[in-house]
Amino acid sequence: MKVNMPITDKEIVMSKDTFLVTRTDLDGIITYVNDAFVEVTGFSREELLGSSHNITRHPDVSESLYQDLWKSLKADKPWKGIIKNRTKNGDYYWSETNITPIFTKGKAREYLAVRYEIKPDAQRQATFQQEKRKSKTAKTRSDATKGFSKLLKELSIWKKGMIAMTVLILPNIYLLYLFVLEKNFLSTGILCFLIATGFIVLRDLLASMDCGLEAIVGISYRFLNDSFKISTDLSRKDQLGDCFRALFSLGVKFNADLASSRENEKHLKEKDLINKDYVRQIEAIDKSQPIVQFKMDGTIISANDLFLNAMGYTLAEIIGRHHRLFVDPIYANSVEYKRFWEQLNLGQHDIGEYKRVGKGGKTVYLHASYNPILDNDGKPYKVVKYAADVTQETLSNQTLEKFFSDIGLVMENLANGDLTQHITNDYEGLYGQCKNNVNEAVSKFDDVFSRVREVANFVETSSQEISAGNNNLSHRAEQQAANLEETAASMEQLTGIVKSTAHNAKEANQIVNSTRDLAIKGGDVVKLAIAAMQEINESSNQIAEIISVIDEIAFQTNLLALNASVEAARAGEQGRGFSVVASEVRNLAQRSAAAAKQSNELIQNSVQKVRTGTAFVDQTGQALNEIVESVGKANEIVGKIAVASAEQTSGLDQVNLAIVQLDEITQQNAALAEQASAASISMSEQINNMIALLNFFKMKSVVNYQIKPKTTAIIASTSKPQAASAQTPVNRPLTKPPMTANTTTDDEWEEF
Amino acid sequence: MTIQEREREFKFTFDDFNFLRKLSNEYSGIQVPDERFDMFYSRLSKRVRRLGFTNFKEYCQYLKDNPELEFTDFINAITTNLTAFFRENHHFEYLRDHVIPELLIRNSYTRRIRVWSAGCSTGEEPYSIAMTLLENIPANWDIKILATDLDTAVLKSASEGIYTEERVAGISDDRLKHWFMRGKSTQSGQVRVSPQLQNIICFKQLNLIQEWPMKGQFDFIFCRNVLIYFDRETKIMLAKRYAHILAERSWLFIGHSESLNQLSTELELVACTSYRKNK
Repeated sequence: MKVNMPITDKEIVMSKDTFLVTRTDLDGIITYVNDAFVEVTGFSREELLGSSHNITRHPDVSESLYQDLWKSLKADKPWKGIIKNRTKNGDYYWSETNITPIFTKGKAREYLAVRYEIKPDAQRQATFQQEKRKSKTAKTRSDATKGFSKLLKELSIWKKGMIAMTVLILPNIYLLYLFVLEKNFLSTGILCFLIATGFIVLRDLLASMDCGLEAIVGISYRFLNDSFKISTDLSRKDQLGDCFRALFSLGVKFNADLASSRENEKHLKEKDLINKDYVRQIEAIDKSQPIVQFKMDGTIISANDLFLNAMGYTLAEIIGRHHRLFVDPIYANSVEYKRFWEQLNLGQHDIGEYKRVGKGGKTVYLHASYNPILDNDGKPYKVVKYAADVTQETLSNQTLEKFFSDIGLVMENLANGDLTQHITNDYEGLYGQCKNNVNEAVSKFDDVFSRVREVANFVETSSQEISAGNNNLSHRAEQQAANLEETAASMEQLTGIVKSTAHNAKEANQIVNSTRDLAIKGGDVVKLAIAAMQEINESSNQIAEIISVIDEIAFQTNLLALNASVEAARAGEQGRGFSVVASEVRNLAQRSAAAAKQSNELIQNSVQKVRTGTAFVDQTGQALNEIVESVGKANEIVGKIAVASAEQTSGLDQVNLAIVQLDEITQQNAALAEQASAASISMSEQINNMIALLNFFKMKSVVNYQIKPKTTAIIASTSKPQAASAQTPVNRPLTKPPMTANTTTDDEWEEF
Repeated sequence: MTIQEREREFKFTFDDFNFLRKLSNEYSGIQVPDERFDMFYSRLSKRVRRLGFTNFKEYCQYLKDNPELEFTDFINAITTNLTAFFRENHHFEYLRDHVIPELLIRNSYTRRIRVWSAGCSTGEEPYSIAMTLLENIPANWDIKILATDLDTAVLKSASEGIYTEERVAGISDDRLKHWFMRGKSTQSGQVRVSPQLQNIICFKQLNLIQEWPMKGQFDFIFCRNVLIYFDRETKIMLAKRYAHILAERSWLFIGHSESLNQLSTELELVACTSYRKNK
């Protein structure tokens, strides 16, 4: 697969004697690369292994070259050529590339490629061509081998060839001679041609063999010289060609091995260096750290001087003994100890601080690691313990630990509020000093907090008093406000009432006034009535007089009628009619007199009644006068009422204003008192909180102070609810009216 | 007297006053003359303070914006509530001596008496009426007193029926013993009316100038010291409505300074500030 990767113009020139070795499978997938290849190409080994070899293919290289390469390889023939390759970052390098199939059991299984450095780019093309020619002639050999091969050629192959030729040609010449003699020219010609051909072929064979052998010998000698980079004609078709190719493959293989062995050598050197480094490190450790080695069953194999010194034993005393020699017998018999060794046997190391027992039972603290050492099969075969004697530090640490534990305890008590606890253990030096400082600090805290609490208690008592006072004040102000409100309501209604009264008085006044007018009018009427009565009286008297005249006339008429009757009687019969008339007249006169008399009586009666009526009317007039007088008085009084009401109204307005102002101030006072009360209650609560906080501390000097129950409103004995107050506040933040329906219960009420 | 703005804790202007009195008049019909300027300040400054405003302008705005929250408190604040047990006792004597005997005969068939205490304030009046009725009418009679007021706060207080001992100072020992309980411990200094009285009284909020929900005919109505707060037209209207809701030949009692002279033709004066429906 052709991958179009970026390329650069930078050439990488390999150092001399650098062989780039790769192995690929039959599909060109890389199965091995040597270090040099990795170094030059810039790819990592991981990138290369498993990749196709064309990962290093340079785009400048023609496809035909590769076709040629693969044609050779597929024909199980080695191939060589000069190829431009690319590195990972796009740089390029030229190499002479030799590839050979590697056969296993007669079949090509893989390809081995070795690349050599070639001369710089400028001469490359020429070199390439030259190489081509050289490979065709296959006449490269070292000067050292030239004379020898010539000698060999002259002495051996040629002589033997000539002898063989002579031996073979002589019978033919004889035969030729026979044909000539028989004048069989056709046969003679054929034979001559055959002889000539045979001679040419043989000569060529000899020449080839000679040349080939010479080349082989040359190559062999170069192999002796460890120079496996060979140039040979790989395209030759005969057995020599096979031979060359085999040699070429051998050379490739040798070079590959050489490269490998060089690298191995390098690795070995490096390993050796590392090993030496390790050894020196171990020596250094040995000089600075106690080391002891055990068998896997715990038997002591060896120990260094530092270990022996730390434990107080001599080497002889411990070799062959069990590890438990160094541990507490109780621990030695414990499950933990057993497990400890079991884990080491599993190859698990153990690091920590170990309390161990030295000679004579002395306690030794070792900071150590038990390291199971594994054999090639990964199985532990011994345990090496690297240790550091930390006995001194541990003992010192223990004191420190104890000291800090003591301080921690005091601090914990402090944190829990206990100021009575001190460090009681004895310490020397800096520890002792520190202990004293800590104890002193705690005592100081105790002292200060005790005093703070005393002050707080005092302030609390005061604040309770202030709170109570303020409450009282607040309540009184509230009470006063309520009372004022009630008064204001009274005044308000009183004002309304007075105004209503004034209004009514005004109306009454009007009524009275009209009454008086009517009464006066009545008086006038009465006067007219009296006058009319008197006139009636006078008329009656006149009527009486007229009646008495009538009566007189009637009497005279009667007398005249009597006289006439007498005269008529005298006149007899003639006078009888006249007598009847006279008698009638007399009757009339008598009836007139009677009527007059009756009229007179009536008139007298009427006059009498008129007199009485006049008296009544007079009385009425008097009464009306009295009414007018009384109404005048009433008018005066009502007028006074109206005036008084008006004055009252004005006065009440002033009183109202005064009350309003008083109410205003009282309300402000009540509000302020309530604020003060709230503030003092809040203060009291805060102080109680503070005391509660202080009670957290346990002190030597005082018994914890009891927090007083929350300040309740201390209500003055005069306290009364505002039953008449209409404006019960919707929400009172602090003080509530002493009584609400919700809170009252039946057992709070009794019969009168 | 003319109103004048003064430097006060809370700034109160004529505009504020006019706004507030207009609002109160529209709702309650209560007449607020200029002289009530200071009274308004005094009564409403409590609300202003409690609500945390710095002047009345803010309060007016609040009232405008939140009538559902503040209007009741506003009305409660500006109403005047003054009352006492057996105030103007002559009315109760007239009840005992004239009204009740007549009702005992007139209503002997129904054995029902219905009374309305309009403007009951903190409840002293309906409780006084209740006492008078229960003392003089057989127990098997059905007696109900409707007690109404515009001010919900006083109604609450009235329905609780708890008063200071001072408020019952003028009541005879017999009555106290019969109709009151005395508070002790936390209720010390208080008295509570007997549940017997509470049982026959129904306390309701009612705005007299609005529609009246009750239909029944009342045997007598107490509406004392209420009319003084209304203008003439309202008084005439109320007198007419009272006459309408009273049963035939029934009574209306008004305050000692009040008069229906020239206000009603349907009600005639039968005793001091006591009127009777003339047919």
